[in-house]
Amino acid sequence: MKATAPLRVHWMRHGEVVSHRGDLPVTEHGKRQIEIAGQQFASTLIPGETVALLHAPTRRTQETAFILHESIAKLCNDMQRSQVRLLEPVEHWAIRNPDIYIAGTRIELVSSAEALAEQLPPSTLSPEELAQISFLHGFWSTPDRIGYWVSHPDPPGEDADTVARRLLTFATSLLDLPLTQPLRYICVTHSPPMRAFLRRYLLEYDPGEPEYAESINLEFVADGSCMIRYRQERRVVKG
Amino acid sequence: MASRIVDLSPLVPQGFKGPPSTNIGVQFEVRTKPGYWQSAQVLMSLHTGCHVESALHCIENGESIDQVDLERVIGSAVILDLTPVAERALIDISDLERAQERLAAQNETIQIGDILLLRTDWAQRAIGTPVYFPQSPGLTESAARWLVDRRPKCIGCDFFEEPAAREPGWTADQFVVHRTILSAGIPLVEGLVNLVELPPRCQFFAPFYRFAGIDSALARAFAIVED
Repeated sequence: MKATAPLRVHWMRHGEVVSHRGDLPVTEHGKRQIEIAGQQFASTLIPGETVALLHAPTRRTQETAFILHESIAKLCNDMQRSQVRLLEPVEHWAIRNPDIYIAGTRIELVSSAEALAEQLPPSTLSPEELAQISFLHGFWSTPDRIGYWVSHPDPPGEDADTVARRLLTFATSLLDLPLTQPLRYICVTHSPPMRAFLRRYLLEYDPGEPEYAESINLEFVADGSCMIRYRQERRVVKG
Repeated sequence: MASRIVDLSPLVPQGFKGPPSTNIGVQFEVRTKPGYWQSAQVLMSLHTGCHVESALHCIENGESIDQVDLERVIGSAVILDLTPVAERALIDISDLERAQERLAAQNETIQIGDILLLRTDWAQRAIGTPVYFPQSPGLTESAARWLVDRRPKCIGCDFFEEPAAREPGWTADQFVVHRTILSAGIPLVEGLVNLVELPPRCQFFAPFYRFAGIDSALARAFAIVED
């Protein structure tokens, strides 16, 4: 089905965290960043628009989505934009981090061997043994760890282009919905999917880490093509 | 697609007024020799006309102007249209939010790392005259914080944003708008004109003189606009 009303999708990075040694909560400064992002989203909402908030299956993206929801809801009330229908945040698997498998377990890429060992069943592999695995050794030896995954030709799981395609496929599938009213999905995710998406569909290179609470913006038009915008870059991907 | 340059710097003739605190109008001294030869020198405040300011302007041991890389004053800019603005008006968060909504109505948004250009058209009318500084609209401290929170890499104004410094006898600790912006590592470009000619987003350039160890430098700001 082709869109008859505007469909916008935003890939938004979660708010600031102290480190990536595990799934840590958003900092106070990060909460402020998210509130401001919410204000900016609120300023662009269209009367009659339905706004869905999705988050990846992690604590930091969930927290971000709920703070964002609160910020947008407050602004909508203040601005008497009661015509906007703001939905409660829900978890969605499509915007998760890359599926990486170590010793038979799907893991989240984290910044230390100790934090990764905690994701495995007890007594599976020690931090020292994990550090011997070729991909992880390279990952932890590189200052830009996510860049290592993005450019890796054969990671133990999803590569960057696969994740990028997953995101675009999900976004494009929203066109199947009956778009009689403007619809917006704000999807709180992580930097690896965002960098993969930017490299594959917008920039053709890896731009490095997005800022916390920064967004990539997609706008679909009637023929199913999609305008992708990030910072000052924009490109149309044909439907 | 054709592109053109929009000059965003005012013409600065002899006598053009700088800030009242320095009480200096531009004074050229043109040296000549018989036959035809001339070489001019100038006495002026570096806060006259279009100029860029660094943290050293109001923060002890802050960044000097030569420490500001050019890439921080060159890049994609969005125009926050605050017009109409009355003389001596205080621009607050609600005014900035309205400007942001205007931007959204033109399908444009503020992005992290943008250059924010604040348009009131005040400099267009008054820069270089004795009323430019004392009668200028200004920003509230909250408005300055709102701008900083958008995480721009640079902010430019076509008015004098520090209301406390309109009056004689102001003190450095009242320089709150400058302090809020410059302490966040955001250079300020002041004395812009012709913002009325810009679309909601354009490429902005504010190359400036590379003076060493001081707080400000003269600039020749311009924009490149796609037609």
